[in-house]
This record gives sequence, structure tokens and C-alpha cells, in this order.
Amino acid sequence: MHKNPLVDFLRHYGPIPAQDNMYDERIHEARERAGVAPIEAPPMRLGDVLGDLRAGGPRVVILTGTAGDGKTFHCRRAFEELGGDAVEWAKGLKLVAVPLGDGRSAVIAKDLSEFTATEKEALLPRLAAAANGHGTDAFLLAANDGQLVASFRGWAAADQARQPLFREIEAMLVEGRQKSDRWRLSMYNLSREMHGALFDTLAGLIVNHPDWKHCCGCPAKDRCPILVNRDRLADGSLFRERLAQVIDLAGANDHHLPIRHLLMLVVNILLGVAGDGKSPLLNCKRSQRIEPKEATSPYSNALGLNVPERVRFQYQAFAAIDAFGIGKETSNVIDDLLVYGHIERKEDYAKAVSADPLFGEAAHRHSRAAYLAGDRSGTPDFLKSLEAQRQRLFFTLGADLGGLDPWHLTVFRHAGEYLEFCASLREGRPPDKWTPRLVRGLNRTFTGMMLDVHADVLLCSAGGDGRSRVARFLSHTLSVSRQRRAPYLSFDWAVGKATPRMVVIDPMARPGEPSPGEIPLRLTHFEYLMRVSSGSLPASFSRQCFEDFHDFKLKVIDRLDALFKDADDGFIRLEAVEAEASGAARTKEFSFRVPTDD
Amino acid sequence: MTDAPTLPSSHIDKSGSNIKLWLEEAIWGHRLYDDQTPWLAMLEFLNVFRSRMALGKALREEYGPERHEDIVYDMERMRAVRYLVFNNPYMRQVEQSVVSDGERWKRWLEHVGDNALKVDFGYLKKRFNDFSELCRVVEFFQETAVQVQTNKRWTSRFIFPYGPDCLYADLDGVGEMLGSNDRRFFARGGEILYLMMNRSTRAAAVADAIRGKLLDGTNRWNRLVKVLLRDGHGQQREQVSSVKAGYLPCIGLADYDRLADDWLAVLSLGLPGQGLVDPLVRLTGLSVVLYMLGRARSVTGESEGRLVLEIAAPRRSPILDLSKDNFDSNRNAPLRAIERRMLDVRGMQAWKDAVADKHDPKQATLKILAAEFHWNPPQADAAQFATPAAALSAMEEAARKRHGQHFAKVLPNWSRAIGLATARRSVGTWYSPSDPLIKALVMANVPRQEEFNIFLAKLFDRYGIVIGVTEAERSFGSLPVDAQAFRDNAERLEHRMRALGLVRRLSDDCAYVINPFAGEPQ
Repeated sequence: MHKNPLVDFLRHYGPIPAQDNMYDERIHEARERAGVAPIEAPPMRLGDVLGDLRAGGPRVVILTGTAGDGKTFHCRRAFEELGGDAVEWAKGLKLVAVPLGDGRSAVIAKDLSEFTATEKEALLPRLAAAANGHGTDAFLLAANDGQLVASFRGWAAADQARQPLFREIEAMLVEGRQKSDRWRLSMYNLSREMHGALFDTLAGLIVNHPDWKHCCGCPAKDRCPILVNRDRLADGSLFRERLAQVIDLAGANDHHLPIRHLLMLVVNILLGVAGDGKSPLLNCKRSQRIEPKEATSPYSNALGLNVPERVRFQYQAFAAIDAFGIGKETSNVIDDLLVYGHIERKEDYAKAVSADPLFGEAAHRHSRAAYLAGDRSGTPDFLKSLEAQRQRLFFTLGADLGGLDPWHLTVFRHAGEYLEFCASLREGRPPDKWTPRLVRGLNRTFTGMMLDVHADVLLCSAGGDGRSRVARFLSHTLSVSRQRRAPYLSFDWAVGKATPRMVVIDPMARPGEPSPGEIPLRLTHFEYLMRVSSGSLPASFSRQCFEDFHDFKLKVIDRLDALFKDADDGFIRLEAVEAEASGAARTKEFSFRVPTDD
Repeated sequence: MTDAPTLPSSHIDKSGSNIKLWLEEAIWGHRLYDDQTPWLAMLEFLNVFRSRMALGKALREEYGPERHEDIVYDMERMRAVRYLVFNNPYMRQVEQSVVSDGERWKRWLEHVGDNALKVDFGYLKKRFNDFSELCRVVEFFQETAVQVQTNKRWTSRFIFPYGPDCLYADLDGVGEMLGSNDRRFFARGGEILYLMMNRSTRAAAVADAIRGKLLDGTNRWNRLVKVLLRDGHGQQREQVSSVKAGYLPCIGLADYDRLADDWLAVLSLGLPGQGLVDPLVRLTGLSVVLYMLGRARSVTGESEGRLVLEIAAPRRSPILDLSKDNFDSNRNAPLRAIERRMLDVRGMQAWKDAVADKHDPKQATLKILAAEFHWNPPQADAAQFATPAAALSAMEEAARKRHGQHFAKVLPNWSRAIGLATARRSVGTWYSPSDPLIKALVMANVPRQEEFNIFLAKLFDRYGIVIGVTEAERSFGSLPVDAQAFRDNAERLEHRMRALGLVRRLSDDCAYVINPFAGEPQ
């Protein structure tokens, strides 16, 4: 029987229950046994790390993240790029030094968890000294995020003077900051990168792996489900592009997928098979016995449908993708196409469904025919098939079917717009296309009234403890366009961060003063504002977003109240906001003379 | 009996008919009472503070090892304002049924003309441009009034405490001056809070923070109240004067500092003062609950207490039953304490001597009971006690009955009111935190961000709260319930806090609690 050792090797990356801390060993052994060339993703932060180390003067560079996201790999590559000897590295020393050429050395600790408590006691003070600007050496430290804070917390517990550095490291980790203002310290969190591009690279490495050549001579080559899936993930495929977008968006929602999870996803797409009861992954033997069919559909595999439900969401990749609800949402246009398109919209139908003989038409035809004939006994099957088709369409709907937005098949209907919004901000272009709707959503959230106001933000208070739904009294108005003196609201891409943010800018503030308020605009927040803008009730789509924006409003009001105190002229001025029928905001002004105290 | 040194209570006038027994008061202070909810205690506290603040003495009251604070304070009546806000049903009707502004004033002033307060509301015409403005302002205070469950008389309803001019006494509603200072709702719980803060080590800092954040007269809503005040407001006769504050037994307790530290943490946050009152009410309530349990344990000698919190789950978890037992045990702790106190009398040498008294053992023992517990049964009853033991039994009976009527309800009522305990039919009552309480705990305990497990440990260290497995092990020693149940409990809390925007999970081994209102780092 023909076997490709690459397939057996790839299975080790897949969603098979295994001990996480044996992961690296397992992969290494399997690869050696299979005689397969290694799959190495390029170290994305290498340039930054080397730049920092070479920059001159003492400093500390921290590489953090979670297990398997390439920290050790980065350390090795940095060591090599700085001129270190591979033999030296292979010794596996906990601490290695390599001269930087200007009399200084770069000292590399490739894994903090290897250090004993005593060794940490010796190492951490050296790092602190360098961060404080003493000595000449630059340090590169790699540690998992949990390990990192736990180690520094323990070290700082012994001496109050150590607390500020620990708290800075902690804050940089939580806020996603890369550079410290007070210390000679930078931090790169490999888990928190935009991993869409990395996913694409990894998929490419696997799909184009030289050892696929071993499939030559296999009798089942022409109908191998694995090779079909490999084909679907070819370079430049819309499937891969859309997957990358989903992964970036999940990252923008704080659902980060480090390398090991991305590899699992790729392998599952290639080898996944549903319903067989044995293993969720194919091997060469099983593959030769079956045809490509719904059970091996790469689109279903991408959602982890081949993995039993009770364990599926333990795999972060599937949990992150599931958060999008792909296939659970839809639009009338798309469902019409799937149910009646073969009769009423033949051209579009051909492009969307018939064009895929394996997973499109063939899979869908029978259950639909029964449904349309009035047979209700097969309705559950039909609904399942419909959902599968929506999932497939999500990954394959392209520009040629202009009227159909694939994001309508997910919970985040505005995700496509969010991607454009982010691109716009990253490139420094003003997001005017979206600002009016975002502001309208904000105003409805802040006031609890169905207003149609999109040029200014109305910061309204409710009185009492501030938590009631409707807030009528205008505390401050913020313009959305740049101002010279008055505070205004702006959208930008925070430096060194992974998400856009909404920020109140005070043009009169002294440099270094914190802004009156800012809030990261994750995908959920963007979606929330867009939905509220189109008529959703503020508390219904996402409680978390409602609370986040509410807290933001209260904070900003507090800061602006401190900056713009009421005039002490014996009068109180209030502005109450009312919604007119057209949605415009009408303000009624009251002013009262305050009687002087007796 | 008690290990913490206590102050004398001689400044309390116990001769009145109200104090029939001095039992709970000796342990917890004079006094905590079930009709006074945490919010009402807060309002009473703010009244006391504001009065003393005017004299420059807020939380700077003198006391010594043998000398209790001697505090006398005043409270406003604010008759006109509270009448307008809470006893003014015709206002809206007039606005809706009459069109012309002049006519509206005329009609409304006619309606209220004959009011029992003998107040002429004509002054309002000068204050407002038109009648509907008056309506909007009154509505504002109505809509934001402090919400309380029970249907109270209108003189026991309170506007939101925006600032010092929004505070006033609870009155029983009798007559032109609206009656006298009534001790049902302002039952001295606020005085106890005031005394606790006064005896904390950071009293001065707390006073400054309260002055700055909660009792800032320049707050616009506070100034708005003044627009409703009559000319001539502020005169002496308008006040409830010379109220003497109550009694707090222990000189120094960790509870006082915990209360003060929570207040300082919350008052330093970047929120307007009015947004801080509700979290402070909850945290204060929690501190009082823990204080009550702590004092009970001092008396009975029971070991360290705990609060087992069950985080709401789709299915009934074993933690719920554990929490229910915990709640029930805690609920009865004060009763156990007073029983113990009364039991201890029997071991006193003076008691034994009195029992053995040759002349009149009954008289002798009654004297002891009067001295220890201020128990003076009416002559007719006293005659019926055949023996000293019968007398003691009768007192114990009276004590339990009195305890059950009011004091016993404080713990469960307060626990529910602050969102610490939840009650469900057919299940009972147990400790399960509400969202606002969770948020208040974050506001008080997380300076900017704190690792999730460290946060849980802090909740245990400061409040004895048990949610996750580590704290359960520290508290129980050997776990009464499967460790996994505790782990699931903590995980549910994390998910809940994420939905509230209070937690971010960075990776499998790293989740952080974020305080959304934390100030900027220095």
C-alpha cells in the first residue's frame, strides 16, 4: 500500500489528544523518524529584536507569548545573526553570550522556565540593572507570559524598590506596549501578532512541502481527499485569504492564535474527516478507501466539525473561529440562492454552487430536492446541508458575485468593513467612510435615545448613579473633526498596538499628559456601534460593549468636568437633550440663578 | 470573652424606654437595625460627616483608651425640597391640563397653598422662567431619587446625595416641621460607620477624599437643589439639632481599616463622585457584614470565618450547597454570640455569690442582670420569678425574642441588599455575587490590573471570600467538595467578568483583571 511519510508526520500537528508539554519532543521525534524536512515559519520579530540589541547601551529585550509560538526559535536565529556559533547553541546552555562588536555582549536566556529559583535570583537583578541603564550588556529574555509575570512578581516581593519595574513589565504585557518610557526595556509578545499573514505563510509551507512528491505512484492519487483539500488551500486561493482574514479579525477581538494552533488548523483542514468514530484525521490507508465527500470537506474541517463536539472548543483555533458563527447567520439573498437559485438565478448559482462539483452541487442537491418537493421528513438533513453550504460559501464567495457579502454569513456582518477601516487607519487615511455611523451608534449608546446625530458626540449624564438607560443632560459635546482648542474625538491606530482605538484628544494638553479617554475598537465594538447605528438596542448585541462604552463615557465626563469647570457666577446652566421625530437632537437650555447662602 | 479592648458606653442614655436590654449593643454597638438598609446607613453617615465637617472635625474626633468619642451633630430638614419632590402629585397634572404659564402657576399654588408645612411656595416663580422648568427640575430629582424597596412615608424618601446640600434627616412626618428625628430608618447605623472610620488609621485621608469627591458643594446637581430652597433656609430652627451619636465598642479593629482602605481606593478613581456612591454602599455593607461576623466569633470563640461564593451556574453545583450551609451558619452567628454572653454570666463569681445570697438571692441576681445587661423587668413580672434561674431564663427568652425581631435580620437583609447573597424559592438563600458587587470589588481592590489568581487571593485575604480551589484549600484545609467544582466556579467568575469588560485572558496561563476606572500611573 502506498504511503507518504509526510502525511503521517503532519498528523502530529493535528487535534489529537496529546500532552502539551511533550509537544516539541513529539514533533521532533516524529520528523526524524519520517525523514521529513522541517516546517519553519520565519521569525517575524527578528528584525526588531536585533535592532534593539544592537542599538547601543544596556537594555533588556523581552520575548514573550505562549507555548510554541517561536520564542526559542527567535532566540536561536538572533544568536546566529549576531555571529554566534551553532555548536555553542547546540550545547543547550541556559544563558549564552555573544559579542556585539562594540565591546558589548548580547546575553540570551532562551527560556526562563529552565532557570531554578536560585538562578533566577542571580539573573533578574542583572536584567533590572540593564533596564535601569547600568552596565553595557544587552539582554534578550524569552519567557511565557505567565512565567514572566510570576518570576518578576516573586523577585519584586522581596523589596519594595523593585515593584515599579515589575509593574511596568506587567502593564506592558497587559496593554500590549512594546516600548517602555521609563526603562531601557522593550517587549514583543509573539502571541499577539496579527497572525493572518503567518497563517498564510504556514499554509504555504505545508501545501508546498517538497515531500508531497512521495504521492507519485499512488493508485488513489486522482481521487484522494487529502490531495483535494491540499488543492483547495493552494497559494492565492480565496479560501486561504479568507481564513487569514478570520484569523486577523479573531486577533482583533483578543482571540490570539499562536503558531502551534495555526499549524493544527492547517493540518485539520487537510486531513480532517467527520463521523467515522475512529480518528478525526485521515491517514493514507483510510484515504485510499474513501472518496472526497462532505465528510472530508475542507470548509467543514476549518470549523473543526470533524472533531467531536465535547472536545472541539478546547482547541483555541476552533473556539476562535466558532465565535464568528459562520453558517449560523445568513441573509435572504444568500439563502434564496441556495434554495431557489438553480431555478431563478442560474448564472449566479452556477458560479456559487455548481462550480464546485465535490462540495457544492453534489452535496446539496438531494436534500434540497426533497425539501422543494414538499417532503418534510428530511428537513433536518436539509438544514444541515444548508448550513454546510453557507460555510462553504463564506470561504469561497468572491468579487465575481458582487451582491453577496460573505460576512453576512457570520455574526460580524460588518467585518468586511472593519477590515477596510483598519487598513485605512494603518495607512494613515481618515476613516470618513465609517465615522458618521460609528458616531451615531455612540450617541445612541450614550443617550439611550434614537438620535440621528453623526457630526458630534453628545456626552450626556443621567444623574443618580449614572447607570440608567436614558441620559438626558448634556455634559460635553465633542466634535469629530480636528479642533485647535476644544477636545475632539478621533480614531487612530495606536502605536505599537494591534487594534485601532477611539480617543479623545485635548489639543491644549501638555505633552505627556494622558488623554481624557480612550478605548480600543475591537471587532466586537465596531460591530456593536454599527448595529446600534442601524437600529439595534444598545444593550442587546453585546453586554460587554455596552459596559465598555458606558465606562468610557463616565471616565471622559469626569476628566472633562475637571478641565472645564462650571463658571462660578451664581448661575447653573443645564442643557437637556430631546430627540425630534427626524432624529435630530434638540437641546433645551435651562439656567437658574442659585440663591446665595444666608 | 471579647479579646479586643472596648470603650465604656456611659455616654449613652439607657434610661429611655427604648433600650430594654443592652446585649447586642455591647457587642456590636448602638446600633445596627434591620429597617436601616445599607443605602440609608450611607445617607445617615453623610449627614453626620457633613455636620462635623462644618466644624472642621470630620473624622478627627477625639477618643482615648477609656473615653468614647463625644459627638453631637445637626441635620437639615429641607422641608420645602422634599415636599416638592416627594409629596407633589398635582404638579404634573397641572402642567398637562393647563396651557398658559401664568394659569399653571396660579392653579398649582392654589393646590399646594394649604400645605401642612405652612410654606408659601410663591418664591419659586422668581426662580424659574416658567412652570415647566420647575417640573423638569423636580422630575430630575424624582427620577434619580434613592430607590428603596419598601413603601415609605414620603418623609422617609431621599434625593440622590449629589453633594452636601442634598442631605437631610429622616422625619416621622408629624406637623409643620415634619416631625422629629425618627430612629427607624436613620437607626444609628450611619453613626456606627462614622465611628469606625474615625478610628481607622487613615481617617484623615478618608475625610479629605470624601470632602473632595462626595461632598463638593460646587457640583452642579448639588447647586441645583439650592434653587428649590426657600429664602431663609439655613436658619437654626429648620434643623434637627444636637443629635448625640451612638456607641461603638471596640477601639481598634482590622475591620475599620479595611473599610477605610476600600473607601480610599474607590474615591481615588476617575469617575464622578455620584458614580462612586453605589459601589461604596456595597463595599461598606460587606465590611459591616464581616464586622458583625467577626465580633460574633470573638465572643463565641469560633474559628476563622469565610464567605463561600457560588458563581451562577447553568446547573446546580455542589458549591451552591456549600454556600447555603455557610450562609445559614453565618446567619445564626449573632444569635450564638448573645447566647454565649448570657451563658457566661452563670460562670461569673458575682453571679454565684448572688445565687448563694442568704437574704434575697432573687434581688441580688436581678441586680447583676441589671448591671450586666441593663435588664429591668417590670415589678409585676419580677415578682413571678421563683428562682434566680427562672429570672435568667426569662431574660434569655426576652433576649432571643428581641433579637429575632430586628437584629437577627440585619445580616441576611444586608447581604441581599448589597448583592452578596441571592434568594431563590425552593432553593433558599446563599452567597452568589451580583454584577455590581463584582465590579465594586474590582474598583476597590485592583489598582490598575492584577493577575486573576492574585485577585482571588486578595479577595480571600481581605474579605475571607472563597471562590477558587487555592483559597478553598487555605480556608478549609481539606476540601469539603471536589476540587474541580471550585476550579469551575473560578472559571465561571472569569467568564462573567469578561462579559463585564473586567477581565482579559492573555493566554492559557495568564488572565488579568482590569479596573476600568483606574487613574493613570504616576
